[in-house]
Amino acid sequence: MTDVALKQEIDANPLTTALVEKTKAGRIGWQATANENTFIASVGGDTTLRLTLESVVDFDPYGQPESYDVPVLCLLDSKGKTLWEVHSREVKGGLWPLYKLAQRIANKVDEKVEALMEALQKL
Amino acid sequence: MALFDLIAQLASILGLVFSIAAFIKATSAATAAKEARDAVFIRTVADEFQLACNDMDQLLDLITHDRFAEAARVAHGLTSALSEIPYRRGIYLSVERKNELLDVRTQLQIIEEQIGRAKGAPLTPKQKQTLIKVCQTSSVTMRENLGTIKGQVEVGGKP
Repeated sequence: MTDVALKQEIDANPLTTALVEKTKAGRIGWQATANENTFIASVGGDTTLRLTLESVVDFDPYGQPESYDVPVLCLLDSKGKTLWEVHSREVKGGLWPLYKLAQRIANKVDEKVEALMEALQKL
Repeated sequence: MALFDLIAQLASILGLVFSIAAFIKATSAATAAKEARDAVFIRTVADEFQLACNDMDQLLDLITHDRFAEAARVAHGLTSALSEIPYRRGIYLSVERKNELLDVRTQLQIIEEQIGRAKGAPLTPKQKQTLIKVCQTSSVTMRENLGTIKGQVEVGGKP
């Protein structure tokens, strides 16, 4: 890697775009965890993706503090060490699309809706 | 003189034949030794997995009975064991299996975090149910891996 490349911040956009595409293609097996706001998936036998909600405190136009949740993507190595933390603001369009997809897959929402539709048709 | 040459040529050919035969024997002996070593390694992986599966069952039992301090200790030990196995036995594990182990290890880390939070405020019934569900799913994944590894042992330890 050149000095010029190291002086620049790593662009998270290609990674998140690829993750969204692969998730849509059903190639990434997101899993629900003991924390209902956290989803994980391991890829390539040595990297784990951890997508979670982080509480951020900001100030409203009146100067009052307000907190809200934003998704954060963590890349963990095979030892469980965090290699890279990608915040929603670093990604064009944010991390919400990826988070929603991961949530949908991990919670098997499509299967459950399908089963519900079948049950409703039998009523 | 011609007879001596003939004998010398025959001796050379015989020498070559014996060398080839010795090479083939040595190669097959080396292959057999490697297969035996692989079989032993696979058995060891199976034993380590068996212990990890037992620990996972124990963790499930401890969470079910609200013994969170002990559950945290078991979860930590299990996390360490699952961090170690892919490193030590990586060449005997497929990418898919490594991914599953990484998933289980990360699940355990999150379980540890959730149990840690329970020290401050008791877990709600919903949170406890989620912990139990994740433990059960992880236990099934580990049992499936154990089954696959035991299957490898039965067919002669082929990685």
